[in-house]
Amino acid sequence: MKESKFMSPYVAGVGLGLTMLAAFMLMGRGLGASGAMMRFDVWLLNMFASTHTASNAYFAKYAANPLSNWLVFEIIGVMIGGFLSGALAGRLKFVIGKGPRISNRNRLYFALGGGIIMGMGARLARGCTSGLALTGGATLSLGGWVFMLCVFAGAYATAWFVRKQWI
Amino acid sequence: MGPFYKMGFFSEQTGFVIALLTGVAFGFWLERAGFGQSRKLALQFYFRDMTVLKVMFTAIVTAMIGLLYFSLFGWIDLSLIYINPTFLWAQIIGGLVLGIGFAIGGYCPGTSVVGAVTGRIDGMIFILGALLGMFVFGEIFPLIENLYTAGAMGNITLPEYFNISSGIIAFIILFAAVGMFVGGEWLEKKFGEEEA
Amino acid sequence: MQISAKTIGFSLLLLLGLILAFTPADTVQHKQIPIKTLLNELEQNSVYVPADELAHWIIDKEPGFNIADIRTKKDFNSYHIPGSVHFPFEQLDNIGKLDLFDKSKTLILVSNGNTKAGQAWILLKQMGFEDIFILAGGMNHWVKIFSNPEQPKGSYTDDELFTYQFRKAAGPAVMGRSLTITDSGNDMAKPKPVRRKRKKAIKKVDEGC
Repeated sequence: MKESKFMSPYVAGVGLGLTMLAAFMLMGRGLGASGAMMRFDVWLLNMFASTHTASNAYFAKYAANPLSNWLVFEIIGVMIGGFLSGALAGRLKFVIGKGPRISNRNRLYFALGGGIIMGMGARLARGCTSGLALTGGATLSLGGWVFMLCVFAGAYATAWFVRKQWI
Repeated sequence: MGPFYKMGFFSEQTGFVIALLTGVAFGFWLERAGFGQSRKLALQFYFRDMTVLKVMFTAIVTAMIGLLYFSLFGWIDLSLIYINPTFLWAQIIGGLVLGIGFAIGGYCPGTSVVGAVTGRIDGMIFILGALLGMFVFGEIFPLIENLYTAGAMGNITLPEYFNISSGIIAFIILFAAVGMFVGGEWLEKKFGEEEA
Repeated sequence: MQISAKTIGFSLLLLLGLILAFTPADTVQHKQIPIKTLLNELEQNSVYVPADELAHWIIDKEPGFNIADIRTKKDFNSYHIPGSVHFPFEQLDNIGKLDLFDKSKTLILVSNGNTKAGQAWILLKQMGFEDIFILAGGMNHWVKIFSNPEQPKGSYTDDELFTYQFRKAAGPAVMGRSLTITDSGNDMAKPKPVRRKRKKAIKKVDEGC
């Protein structure tokens, strides 16, 4: 099956916005992603070192029933939705996304490193692009907008140094 | 009148079902826009593909317009909506760090999940990294606790901070968004490598 | 035709924004509970948690509550209720630090007596904590009843004896000296925990992401 073209960003954006609006209307809250990862993290930790999670002031916030949370269910939905859309468009395949000038291995190192940095940034800011920039942006939260501008600033400032990876 | 959950129309369990459905829609639109592919996301930062900016701002203004009009019609009580609390310094630093991670890793947490389920190996590795990063954050939390709470301002919004009505703020944002869309199209024509 | 569709979309956005700019869509207000209501509430006993009940929760390891000790550092260091977090009164306006408390859990304020805790209660209530109580009598009362419980004299009811036995047994556990209560007299059975239904925590969704 041939890969179909991506949808117009404006149409997808309106769809995303309406999804978020529905979440506000139904639940009184927006979307999110990194919170679910944090909960998964704590759940893993709980299995190996539950006393440790309880004694750490930060993990303890999540320690009770880490997986019984709105965001966790939402992120399971994201997996289903993403898979469905990918299947419908014929975009399901094992590949490594990268530019032509970098080896697979290096790209994966970069992905790991970028993930670690992002994980810390998301926890420090109390949210990620979906939970803080999108949701906070729509609710006109001051922190959400400041965060969004800083994300773009940080990314544009770094882009030049990692250009070999993408272009 | 919404939000229905906070008005007590349904239980937490029903909320989880709604969470799942909301997530399905969220993931679907992300993938439709091409957000499962790290290169497409990252090219944003070289002005070659402005999809990220377009989708994000379209989504924000759609939800924002919806919220404000709904509140105008009396369909929703905005005071019950969760507003992300502002921790100015934590969010400035956190945003910069996250931006650096975005440019290096090519994903953000939500899109990496979409990338991983559509088979992007870098997306899976990225999630591993993010989990590791959050673990490290928790471990060093006692050291950076002061930074984590720096610049606490509560659930403050732009209209409250600037003391301008939400309508005017919304208009300014819409105006800026349209400006960015037009500018983005122009940049794509100039730097873009492929015909969209 | 692609361009014209976009132009229509953009114009529509601007138009919607322009309409918004002239409407009073300014409904983002935070609920402020009037001081008067809070003071009235404070007068009644419903905001106080009796020391015995709190001790039961601690011994039963009930989840779902936090204890904030608002006394001075010195007092806190000399002794405190096990599991309580030191949160000096002067720092109550530190929203950042408050963030460490899970708002969906019950918060119990502990001071030396009732007065200071009452002030803190009003402050936090206005900051949006809904499920928040005060330890009745504060630390003074706590220490008195658990370090040296008063033995009921003369004609006492079963209830009085029961309370006395519980206090004596719970003493070591809730005074923060030792966490075991096994050695607290073999003639006394550990009183069966009385589960009292607490005010149900207000449904609240937490962090955004």
